[in-house]
Amino acid sequence: MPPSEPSATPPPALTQGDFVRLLMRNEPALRAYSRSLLPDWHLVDEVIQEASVTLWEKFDQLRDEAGFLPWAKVVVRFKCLSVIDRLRRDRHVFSDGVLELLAEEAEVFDAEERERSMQALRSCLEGFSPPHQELLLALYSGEGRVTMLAEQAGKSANALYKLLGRLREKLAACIETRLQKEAL
Amino acid sequence: MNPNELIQRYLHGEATDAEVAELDRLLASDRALRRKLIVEIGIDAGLCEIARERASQPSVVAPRRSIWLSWRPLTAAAACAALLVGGGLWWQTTQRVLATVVNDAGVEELSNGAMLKGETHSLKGGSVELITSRGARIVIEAPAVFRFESAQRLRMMSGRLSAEVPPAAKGFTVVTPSGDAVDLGTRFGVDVPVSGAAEIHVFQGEVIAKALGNTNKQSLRGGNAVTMDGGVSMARELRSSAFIQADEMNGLSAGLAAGQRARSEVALAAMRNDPALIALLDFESGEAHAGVFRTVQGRWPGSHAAEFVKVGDHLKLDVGGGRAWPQLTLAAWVRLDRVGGERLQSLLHTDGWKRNEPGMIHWQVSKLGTMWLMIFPGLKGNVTEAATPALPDQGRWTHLVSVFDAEKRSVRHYLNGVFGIEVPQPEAQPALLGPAQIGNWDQYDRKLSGRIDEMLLLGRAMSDADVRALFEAGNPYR
Repeated sequence: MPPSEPSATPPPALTQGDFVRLLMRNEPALRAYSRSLLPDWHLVDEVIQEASVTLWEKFDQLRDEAGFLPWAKVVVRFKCLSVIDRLRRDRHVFSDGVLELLAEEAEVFDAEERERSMQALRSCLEGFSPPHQELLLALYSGEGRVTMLAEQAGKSANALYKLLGRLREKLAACIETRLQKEAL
Repeated sequence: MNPNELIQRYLHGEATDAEVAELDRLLASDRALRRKLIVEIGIDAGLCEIARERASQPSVVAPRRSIWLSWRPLTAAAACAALLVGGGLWWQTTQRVLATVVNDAGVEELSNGAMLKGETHSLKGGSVELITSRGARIVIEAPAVFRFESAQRLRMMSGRLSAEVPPAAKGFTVVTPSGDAVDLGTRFGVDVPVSGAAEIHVFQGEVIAKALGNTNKQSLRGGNAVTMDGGVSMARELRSSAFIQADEMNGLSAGLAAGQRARSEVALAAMRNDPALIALLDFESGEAHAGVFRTVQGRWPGSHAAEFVKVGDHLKLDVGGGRAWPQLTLAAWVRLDRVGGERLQSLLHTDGWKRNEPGMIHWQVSKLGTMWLMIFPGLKGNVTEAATPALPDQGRWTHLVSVFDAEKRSVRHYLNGVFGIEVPQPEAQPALLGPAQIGNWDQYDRKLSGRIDEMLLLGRAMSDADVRALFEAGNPYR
């Protein structure tokens, strides 16, 4: 039997249940993190899936819960970079230097930070009129949804995309203000 | 093109190779722009999540219209959108993990780490704790049949569930055959009996109840409960402890892992051979008991207990009649839905009390959670009203024992194997049994709200050590 350490009691071993809980809690943050490196959400899904398997295989390396997100980010980042290598062959992606800088910038977003931003987003979104809310969500509600809204409103899709751009800027500003107020 | 526009085009997958190269160049030298991109990605991810949520709520589903114009495919949003439309919906419900098992106390069909998708699950025994992909914590007690329609929508065909819903999973809905419960950030329970009306019980926060076929919604707050039947929600009293909640699960699964069930069976076999045995009800023999009550799961996975829910529910028993009992031990494993409310909840009421027969017994739990054993006519004065350590408030299986000894003129009460109080008796009248009711006393309403798993009647006085051993052998927790 190995000698026990005199002062510190070892933390209880993390269980399978802990893994699932940690992964679920941090998945949104990991998705956003990988999206900062990858050009689209399809690739994000792919990477997160692969990373989950790796994380699970190596879960016994993790010592405590607090270490989960930083550790998972390392794994996710590695997966992202190998996907990007594959992409480079047939499409233009960001350069290594910029990816490095983006990863650094995205590092600050942890689960808590993300939860705060999400709350801000929800309340800001509520502030828009229902048609504007619908337009803001249209990109995520199925292909052709913006076109359909344009058709219904009797406007060109182009005009609607322009409006969408302005709404997104308003939304971003609102979130920024809200988070700043909170920080005071 | 201005940098913001470039970012939007990049996010929506519309940027050309030249535009990506331009953005790359700008990002390399502009930290504010990098931060802006990260924030925009966060908004993108957030909007995607909200769009998914809204799409999973049927009221927001837009009418389908043919699309005349084609537009450049929005690849950025597509991964998110793919989950919502056409084949994507199929992919979401069949492939996406909607919930994961974190505690499988006695459930054979699901084990820890099992990932639930859109399939139907049928549990014969035990209880299972799940966490949805949105972080809602659900405990389902067997027997149960259920299916996740999305991470935010659980269809319960039968079974009993408790849910703890964090803000991220607000809107989590339980769909039952008689109506829906829509969570607004809260803890609540839903009971869907195999036959009969579903009930919603709100422990904390707010839930919207929608009875099937009724367009009216009803807002329920903490402490409220309803039965949904035939399109109508009727208020009923709260049974918060009828639901196994997450905090009880660890004790239950540890008890099973420690082999408590086998220990309990050995102890019961020994009791059956006790020469002083009058009756042992464990609801496992399949023997039919007269009365009106439900048969639900007991302390062990797949075991049985009698549950008393409605006014008038009772079980009839006729044992130990035709002789006197100078010593008597009454023991039961019970799970009270709540303490308080009714003045008294019946454990065992002999019918002969009505005829003023000296020695007839009434065993019950008071509104304060204390045990009372009254031996007629000892009810005069309060001497027989024993104050025992109060029963715990929260839902738990509890072991109650009262030991009567006429010669010593004493009644001793025990809660969970621990001696609580001795109540001196004014007379040395031996106890009488015979026809009796469990769960009610028909002359007055003494309704028990909860389950009885085991009831033991023994014609001798158990010692402190006997009671302790009986509790320890039958305790489902560790």
